[in-house]
Amino acid sequence: MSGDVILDVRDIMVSFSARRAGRKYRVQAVDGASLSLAEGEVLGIVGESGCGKTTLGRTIVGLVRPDSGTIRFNGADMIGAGSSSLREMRLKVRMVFQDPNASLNPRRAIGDSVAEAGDISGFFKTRAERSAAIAATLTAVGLNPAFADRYPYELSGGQRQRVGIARAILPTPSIIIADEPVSALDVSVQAQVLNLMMDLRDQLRLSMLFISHDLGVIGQISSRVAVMYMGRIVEHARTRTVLDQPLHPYTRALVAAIPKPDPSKRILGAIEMGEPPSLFTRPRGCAYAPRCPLASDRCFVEVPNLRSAGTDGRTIACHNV
Amino acid sequence: MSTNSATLWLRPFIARPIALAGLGVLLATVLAAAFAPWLAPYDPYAIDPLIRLTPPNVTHWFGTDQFGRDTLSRTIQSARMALLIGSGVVVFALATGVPAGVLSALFPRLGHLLMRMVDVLMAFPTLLLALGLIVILGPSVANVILAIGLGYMTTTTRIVYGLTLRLRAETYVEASRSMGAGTVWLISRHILPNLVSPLLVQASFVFAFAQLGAASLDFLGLGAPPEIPSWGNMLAESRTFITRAPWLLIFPGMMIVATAFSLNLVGDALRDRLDPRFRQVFGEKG
Amino acid sequence: MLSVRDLTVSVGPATAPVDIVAGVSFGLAKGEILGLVGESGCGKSMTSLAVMGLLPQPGPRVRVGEVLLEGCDVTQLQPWQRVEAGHGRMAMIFQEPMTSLNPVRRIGDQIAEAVRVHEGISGAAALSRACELLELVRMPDPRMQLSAYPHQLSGGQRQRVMIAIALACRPQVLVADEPTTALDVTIQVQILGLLRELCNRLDMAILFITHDMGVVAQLADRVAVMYAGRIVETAAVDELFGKPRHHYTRGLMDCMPSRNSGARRLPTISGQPPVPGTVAAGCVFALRCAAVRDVCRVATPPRMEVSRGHEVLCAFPLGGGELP
Repeated sequence: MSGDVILDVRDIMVSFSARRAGRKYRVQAVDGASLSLAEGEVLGIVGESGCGKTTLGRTIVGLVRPDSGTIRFNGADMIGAGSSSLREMRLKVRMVFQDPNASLNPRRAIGDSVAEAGDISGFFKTRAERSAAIAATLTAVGLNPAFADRYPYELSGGQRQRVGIARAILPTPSIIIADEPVSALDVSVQAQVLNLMMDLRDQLRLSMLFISHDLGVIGQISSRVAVMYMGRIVEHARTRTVLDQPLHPYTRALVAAIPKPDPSKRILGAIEMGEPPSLFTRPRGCAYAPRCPLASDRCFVEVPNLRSAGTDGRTIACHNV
Repeated sequence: MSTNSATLWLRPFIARPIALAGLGVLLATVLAAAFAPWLAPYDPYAIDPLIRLTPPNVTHWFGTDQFGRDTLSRTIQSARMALLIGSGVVVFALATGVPAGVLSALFPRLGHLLMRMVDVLMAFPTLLLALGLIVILGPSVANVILAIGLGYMTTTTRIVYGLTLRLRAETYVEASRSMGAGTVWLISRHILPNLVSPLLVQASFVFAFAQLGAASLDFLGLGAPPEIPSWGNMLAESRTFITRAPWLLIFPGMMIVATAFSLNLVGDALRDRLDPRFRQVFGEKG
Repeated sequence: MLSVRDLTVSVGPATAPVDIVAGVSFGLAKGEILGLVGESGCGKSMTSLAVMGLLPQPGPRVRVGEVLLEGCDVTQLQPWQRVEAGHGRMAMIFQEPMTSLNPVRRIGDQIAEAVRVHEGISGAAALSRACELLELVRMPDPRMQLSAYPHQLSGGQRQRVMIAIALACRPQVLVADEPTTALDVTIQVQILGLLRELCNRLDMAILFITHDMGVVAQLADRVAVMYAGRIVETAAVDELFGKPRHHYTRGLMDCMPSRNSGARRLPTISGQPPVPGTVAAGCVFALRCAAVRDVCRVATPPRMEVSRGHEVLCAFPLGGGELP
């Protein structure tokens, strides 16, 4: 691990109003999540669908307004910032989206999509500078610079995701929030894109928040990982530690459920772990208690807070571990 | 536009001959309107009492009316009014409906207000709304355009509103927002370019219905001034001669049907062009 | 029990057909799970639809080959003829259970309807059979869930309902097309476990289509790896993962992050799969193969049995084994 804290997220709460069976509900998508990101570090966020990991990422890039909490970029507040300094910060904190088919405007040429952040902010001084920057960026993500004049439908899924990455690194940002950037890709293409992201991290000294449901992918790219369950971070530690000795019962289930590509290590039938409760019927105590093999009476009434457990900065939210 | 996309636009017409025929009829109408003074064999206003109500013959292909005016020349001359009203209505409907729909979708509070007003207007049948307006404003070409256009502004607003709501949720719009894009940027770079093709389809249907609406108003004497030749006016003037001189109704009536029908065919073909399934060659997923 | 021979599915005009599935052959025995694995566009879904007789109309069609269910070719039969001839004993489940369920009908009625069609019983009898089926798929509290609507169920429960509907016809063969891809891993492992259990209990054969090598390793007895419309390698699951012989199979395994823990970079397969119809001659994988030789680009590779039950479509398979 290296460098100073570049992004500091504290106690983020995000809720949505939803309607179900005629009644209005408040759905707590993110329930007091905190994390920090050091310069050049990749932090993985893992969890099942609906755990709030995507909402947390969208909150950091300003697509969702949190109910409360702070987000600081290099010490400067991102939520209450004035529009000019915020615009500058938006250039520094960028997002890569999951679905490469949906994240590019079908009616815009690839070059225009790649240059969009620069165009919005008036970054390019001349047309020549702009096209040179587009060509250089496309080359950096392993695409032919001639793609600048093509349209998304002419590209394959993997190529489109490379364009999505190119769009996020021009002009060069400090942080990339990557929301499931390889989930929609085939495994052989997935490896190519993961390698590209690791290269860019090293070359451009990028910090990354890497959101994924796939612990295998997270294990490849990130040094630390935060495990989310129903809007809260339940375990946070170095990636190897989490993968090798998961502590929280939910993390253990998650690690155990990865389908290992080894027929001699079959897990089917060995695991019965229930299903996550609906966000509409959040349990009172620990949200994992109804599925948890270790749950005690206390777990059903009192929400466990993150506390440090063991060495190297591991934190965990569980009463019984 | 590149040749590639030009062939994409033409393909649905080539694939369906009837749509190609529709396109042909429309082109012919446009040409007739443009070159009416040269194409018309006689002066459409020239009165000749000696040849009143002659049936179609070699010198007057479509016959003559109760004042001895040449029906063919008047039918050709009328294409001008038809196209003027049609394009006027389309321009009016788009110029008002597109901003109203886009802004309603982007600013929910304004949208709430505007969409309720649209609901009220939509509660009236289009023709009834037009009739009422003409009665208030008085008949003139501009008022006909306004009266019919208002009816189609509501449907256009609705369509644009729905499309923009969907576009607003697209990931590429979110990507743009996450990079600090403002409303003007979103509208000009992401929303309007994606509205062009569906609006082209909408425009063709509005054009078709404007033909029918204008003809109805003309027939009721509330449309274009009677001295200007238009298909609707021709029908209105000659309706008392329907048994003695049916040709006076047949030819302008056929033109109304032909243009409206052709526009619908072209609209259908354009809609097919927009259907993503049409562009797919290999439909395989797995 | 199920035998697919030389199945070729084509699109385009009859004069110039493009084969998206080219000469696929495999067999499926009672109580066996065959994993058909490949990347998107490799033709695995088309193969499953062709086996089921569910190819979209108009569109791709079976140009050559046969699908024998207990010795009877079903490719020439219309769906209703299959049922009448008593060969309707195949069922299919899909990736997205929500789109396959009617949102405004109770799931009990939807399962009972399938029971009615296949067994000719109705009313209370069909509903109680529906309840049995829900128990069979280990739905928690089946009697209660009969009156639930699809939106009240979780994704995993919906997939259980789809499996229950599929089981209503007492199938001999269940075709499962990526049934767990849309589910979370903790749910996926339960659905996979359920399929394994059903296969054993009902002596049913399963054709399991997936892109995920991990899922295949966990569930399948035998594996067929598909690439560009062809099966490039078939073997028992232990054999395939222990000693892959085709370069593509090997590449697929290597680029899985979870098999590669620790390494700095992931090995990759360069390039992309070919567009159907563009490979004129030679091996379909030649363009991306690291061990390609000149002959691979011109001559179609032979299908070799490198060991008992282990076939590979390659002229120079990994670990030797050239033509005798």
